[in-house]
Amino acid sequence: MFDIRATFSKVDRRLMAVILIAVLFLCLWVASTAFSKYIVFIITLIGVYIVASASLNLTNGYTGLFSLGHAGFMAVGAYTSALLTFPVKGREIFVIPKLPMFLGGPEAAWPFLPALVMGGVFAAILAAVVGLPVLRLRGHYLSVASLGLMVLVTALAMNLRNLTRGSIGINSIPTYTNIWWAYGCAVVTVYVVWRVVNSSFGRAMKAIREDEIAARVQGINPLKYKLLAFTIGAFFAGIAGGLYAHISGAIRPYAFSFNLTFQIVIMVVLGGQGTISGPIVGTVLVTVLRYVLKPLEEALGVYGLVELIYALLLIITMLRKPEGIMGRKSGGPRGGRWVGSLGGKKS
Amino acid sequence: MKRVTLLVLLIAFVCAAGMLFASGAPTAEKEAKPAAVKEDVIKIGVLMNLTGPWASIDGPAWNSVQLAVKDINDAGGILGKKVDAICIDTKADEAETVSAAVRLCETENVNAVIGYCDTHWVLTAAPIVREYGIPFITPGATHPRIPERSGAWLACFSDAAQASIVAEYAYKEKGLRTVSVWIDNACDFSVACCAFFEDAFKHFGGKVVYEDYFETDWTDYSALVTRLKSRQNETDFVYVGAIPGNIGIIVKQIREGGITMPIYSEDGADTPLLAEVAGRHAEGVIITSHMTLESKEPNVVKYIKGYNAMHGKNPENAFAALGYDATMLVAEAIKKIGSAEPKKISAGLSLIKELKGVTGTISYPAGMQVPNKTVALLESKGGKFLLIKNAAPVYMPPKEIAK
Repeated sequence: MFDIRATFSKVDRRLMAVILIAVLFLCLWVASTAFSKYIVFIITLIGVYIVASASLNLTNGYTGLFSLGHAGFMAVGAYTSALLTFPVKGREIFVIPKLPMFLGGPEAAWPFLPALVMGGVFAAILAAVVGLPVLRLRGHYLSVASLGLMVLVTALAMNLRNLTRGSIGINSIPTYTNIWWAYGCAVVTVYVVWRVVNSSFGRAMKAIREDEIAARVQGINPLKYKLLAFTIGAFFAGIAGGLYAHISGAIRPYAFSFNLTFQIVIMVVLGGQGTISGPIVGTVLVTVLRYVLKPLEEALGVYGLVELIYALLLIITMLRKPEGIMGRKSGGPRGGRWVGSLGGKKS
Repeated sequence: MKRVTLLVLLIAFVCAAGMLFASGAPTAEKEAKPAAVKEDVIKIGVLMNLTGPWASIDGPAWNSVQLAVKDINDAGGILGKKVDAICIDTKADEAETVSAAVRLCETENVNAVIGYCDTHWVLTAAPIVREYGIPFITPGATHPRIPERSGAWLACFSDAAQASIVAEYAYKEKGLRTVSVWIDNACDFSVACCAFFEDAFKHFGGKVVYEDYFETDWTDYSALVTRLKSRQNETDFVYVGAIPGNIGIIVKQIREGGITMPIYSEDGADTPLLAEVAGRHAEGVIITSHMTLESKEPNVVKYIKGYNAMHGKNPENAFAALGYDATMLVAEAIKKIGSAEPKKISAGLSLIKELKGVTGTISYPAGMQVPNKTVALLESKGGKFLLIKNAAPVYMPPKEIAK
């Protein structure tokens, strides 16, 4: 009887997911035809940020590694994708180097998808290489080290002038990102995070988050799982960076700095770390709020109002509901809230 | 269950927001269709980073756009129509910039866009505005390759012009032969300006001894000062590619390091901060800029008075004055072509000859979107910038030098 119920609920959840995705894309289709280009742009931007926040949630929320290096990985993805896809004609006007032979030669510009994936792969490689030493650190030390990684990436982007044009940034990047690319990637990201979290990998990650020593006693190799979470997170951060570059059409080293880092962290924390829906809810809330308040800001002439309200919202959340909007209250001693999800499901 | 309640509330909020947008958008479209409704007001969209690192130059420019709009309306508007300006703060964020540009063109139905005093942001926003056939004028972005890259018009001179003026002055009138160039690696404007300066100085016969590099947010320049000191026998003067935030500190540290050679800089140094931070050390620093606020020209005096009356302070820098002139350029273009239709304003701009602005006389040579303008050569004296001369460049470094 237990088996039947388990199977039933599993099928149910899959069906639910498929229906949800279908409804989502239907809504998007309606929105893209019915609304003005401005609103469609905002909806698309939300999709891009969901890719970033959902992937950050894998390290910060599920594995308990409070990483602040996400914007750095986004920068890697953004620059890789922008440089690979930049049209050959524009390269001379903008003094961007042509592609070397092994990447297709000087007369080639990559299509969007492979460039996007390549950006993700580069970010993941960087995460794996940097992660080995950095992930030995814990808590605040890890946060600071990952922040250092972000600073390092922006400094590199600034000083590798021949490749990245330095602080001038790259403009006129083809704007490939549309509502379908953004939400296609968002769905894939959320799906991958969901699958990882609900697998034995995910349970090991959560165990490490709750108590690393206890996890080691159980025979879990913390570095392996941390590295895995970090690398997968970085891969999707790279994708998000690529999407961002191709939606804004312009990138500069400082675009991937503290502002973006904290914006994404706020999205995750506000929505609820360690939940699938949390980052999505946080992203939608933060982005919609930003654009709804804009006309108010202009009418009042108080520019910067949006940031004040962000901060206020964050303070209120931290005081009233520190686990975030979608977060579950912890049910008892440390880690109590995870007992259900750890023991309940098997895959 | 609490989560569900919250989720429902959130969805309700998003839907409400969507309704708000959606109800706003169609009315705007409806208004757009009957030409008569839209035509009675000329709407200028303004894009500025009013918060963030560029606020100190973009803010004054927006203040002046407001002043110009008021002045135009007080004088009866353009072609009998009132002018209205709406400013969107883009918070030094690329996605914000793109969304704001789309919004101005899609839902706000602007006739022209004025935006930014920094090149990167112009290059981000202008191509989008161009797609709608709406002209984009930048008050203060001085990169000479902006038109070819984004289709925007400049209300200011290009970096090539100001670098050439200062190089010529140093070589011919001051007899300086060798220079050390300090470049702000984190600032594209500085990089471009210094490249033009080096080219121009070499053209006139001078020699660049060495380049040194710093970054915008540094507060300690002692390493650069020490290097300069060790080579001061072979260097006649130093050219600093500074911006308002660091010129004061740099000048102070050079002088405190015991170096007495002349210091030259560009329009980024045109800020009260130079005298405030460097104090007596600011004495004698020579810069190029768009104008001097000490000018006794009647239109400049009137402008400063108007700015003071409207905002309760004097214009902060030349970017303020450029914001005023950019707005006046739009007004003049509409008058010249006799139509406020966005697609025609560009043609109107190209007809502008000898428009007397606050920052000098502006004309666009045929086929050019960078105006012919004189450069003001200023010297810092007693906490003020005094005019040495207004000059037009005799040699223009090729714009391809700037990346």
